[in-house]
Amino acid sequence: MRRKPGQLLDLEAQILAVAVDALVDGDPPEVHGFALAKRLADREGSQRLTSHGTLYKALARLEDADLLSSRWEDHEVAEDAGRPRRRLYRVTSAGQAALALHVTTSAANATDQAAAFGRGIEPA
Amino acid sequence: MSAWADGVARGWTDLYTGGLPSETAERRREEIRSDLFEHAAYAGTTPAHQLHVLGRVLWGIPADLSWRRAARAPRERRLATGEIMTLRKTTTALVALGALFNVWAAIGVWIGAGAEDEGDAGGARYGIPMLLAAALMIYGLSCRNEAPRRSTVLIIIGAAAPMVVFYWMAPLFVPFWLVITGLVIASEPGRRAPAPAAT
Repeated sequence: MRRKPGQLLDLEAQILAVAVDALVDGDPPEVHGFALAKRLADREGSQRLTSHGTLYKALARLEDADLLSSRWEDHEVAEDAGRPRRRLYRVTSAGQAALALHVTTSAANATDQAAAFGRGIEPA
Repeated sequence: MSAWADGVARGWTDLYTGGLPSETAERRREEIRSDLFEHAAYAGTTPAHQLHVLGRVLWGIPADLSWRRAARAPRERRLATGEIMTLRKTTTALVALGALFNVWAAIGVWIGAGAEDEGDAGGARYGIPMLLAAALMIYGLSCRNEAPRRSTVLIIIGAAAPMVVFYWMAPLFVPFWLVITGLVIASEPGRRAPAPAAT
């Protein structure tokens, strides 16, 4: 099913939520791909990490929609740490707004569904 | 412990990013390299971890392929609007001209031969192959986008007809056939365009 423009998938909303948490916590305000996968798994209480393809495709979509911005880590920092440089993601203000809207809409939908379910079981 | 699944992940990434613009492909490869490194740094390279990495690769294959298709889209649009489009228009015009020439030559040789001697079957012998060749070229043009390879082969065969049918004038037709062949191959839809320079 084709989704509506501006509508977030669950995974995208979770990624934005992790990125917002990083921004709020402040240290560091940017997260790299593996850290995102790890934090997503932690939020779910799962050991399984999101697959590479699913994660990086979702990140690319969010960046294309300007909900996330990204940059390469400085070469020197990566070399000093003895590892490949990281691609660092940060949530944008549009991303924060999209997440807030998603949370509000999801809550409203959940309320509507609960109400509909409640009506459905009411005795005639 | 050997990081065999990391190797699988890198190999798969190299495979599905192949042929994409270098900047796009290199970014994805670097991200996967970084992810694999961080994952190994966190969990080690035990057999269980390697199976987990393999699972992340396998579960992500549909998304990888979908991402690749999307990453190729800008190039397809470039093909439809840039220099390659000019090449395609030139090719289409030349092939159409060649098909028209085949029809004209077929009618000419058919009517011409019949006018000289009504019992002469030579006109049909030359005319029918030329008409068939024209039909091949026109059909080749019509299925250019749906079946590019078939279209290329049909056009090349059709364009070869004059030099085969009128073999005594082959030197006249060979250069035209070579030009058509080169253009048809170069402008075939889906043929890889030069990747843009990384910025």
